[in-house]
Amino acid sequence: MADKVQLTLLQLQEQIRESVEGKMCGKYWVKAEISDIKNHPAGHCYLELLDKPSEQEPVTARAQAIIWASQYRLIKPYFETSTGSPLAKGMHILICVQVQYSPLYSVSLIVTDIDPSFTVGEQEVKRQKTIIRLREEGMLELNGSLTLPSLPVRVAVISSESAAGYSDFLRHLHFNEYGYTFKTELFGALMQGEGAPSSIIRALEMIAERRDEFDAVLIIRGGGSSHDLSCFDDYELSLNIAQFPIPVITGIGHEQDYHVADMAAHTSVKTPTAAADFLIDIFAGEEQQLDYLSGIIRQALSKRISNEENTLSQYSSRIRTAYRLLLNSHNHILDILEQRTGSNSSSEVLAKGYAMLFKEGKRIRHADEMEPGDIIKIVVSSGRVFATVNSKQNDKD
Amino acid sequence: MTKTELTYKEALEKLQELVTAIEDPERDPESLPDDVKKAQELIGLCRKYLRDFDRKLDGLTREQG
Repeated sequence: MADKVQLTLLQLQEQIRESVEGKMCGKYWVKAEISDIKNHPAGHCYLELLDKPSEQEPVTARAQAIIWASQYRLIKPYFETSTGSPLAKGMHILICVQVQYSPLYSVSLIVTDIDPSFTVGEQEVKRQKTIIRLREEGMLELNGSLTLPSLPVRVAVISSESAAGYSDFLRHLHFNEYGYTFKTELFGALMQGEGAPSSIIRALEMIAERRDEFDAVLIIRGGGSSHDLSCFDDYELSLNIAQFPIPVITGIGHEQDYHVADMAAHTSVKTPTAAADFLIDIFAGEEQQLDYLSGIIRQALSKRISNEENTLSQYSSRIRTAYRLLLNSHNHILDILEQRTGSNSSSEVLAKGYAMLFKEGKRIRHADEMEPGDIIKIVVSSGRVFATVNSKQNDKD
Repeated sequence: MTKTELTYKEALEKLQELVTAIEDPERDPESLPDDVKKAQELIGLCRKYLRDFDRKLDGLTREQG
């Protein structure tokens, strides 16, 4: 026992510290994923870091990292401004660290700097991979190939009552200037963070079970940081949207945001308010079309009525003309008869024994126009006589 | 008297027949005033129908508006 060197735990730890810090006294740029993050009331930031070769493979390394308050005051705004997001769980980062060994806390990495462009790049690379995968699987056009009903009245809304933009959406939709009525039903879901994709997928599954009750599904969420909205770049969520049996309309984030979920949806608009406008505009468009058709019908009917009025005016004119012609014609006959008899007036002509014969309202000029038994009207000078033909004899007989 | 229960189409057909008869140069002029009167009544009836159609159309357009 006496020949064995005995060290206290502290002595051992001190040796380790000297060894580690002696060999690794410089600064190192390290890339890692944040598995946990805690902000200390004193302003320090504690990070749990891990290393995984890929999403599917197990964790191969873990370490604690600290950003002291003095440094964190500078790093935090710089990172958030550059990436649009705060440091968060699940994020891939590139940090400059000094290795520190403490007998009490073992190895710690003291963060002195961070490269936000790495995080932006990592997110974008992941996003692009998801897009390529969905495109190769033929998913990006699938939901878009569904036909949106002419008037989508029954709308399933996936959002959170507390989500930014949801109340704006409801107000904008239900108090639209035209007075169109929509039936909306909220299917609550997490709209940010790690749990959001699975939560939204569950909501989609609930809607799918009642698919006949809805014309369209709206996924809406107001603005947020890039990291808040990065859940809408999730492959599984985008795949579920693409394969959904009802048209899905997304209105996620700000004007500048465009997510993989937007690409997989039937229609994507910029914001929840724009989603309400999209629905309202469909109705307004249909109404405009109806107004146009109504105008055409009105025009056609007016033209028809006008044509009919013209026809009636023509009949009226023809009657006047025919009336005048017939009277003129009969006056002319009487004038001729007058001349032939030397009389000065038509009444004198008739007074001389001439008569005019009519059968069934038509003047008779020849014996051929009468048959025995016919009733004829004979106009003589002092009146009319109605007679029946007993027999007839033509001149040639 | 023109029967008020005639439809527009029936009234127009009767009017067409009457106009053709009135235009017949061989017609007995004595029956002409009666036929002309009947024709004018039919024209009045048809015009009334057209005014009603127009009013109904206006009403429908206003409802839409």
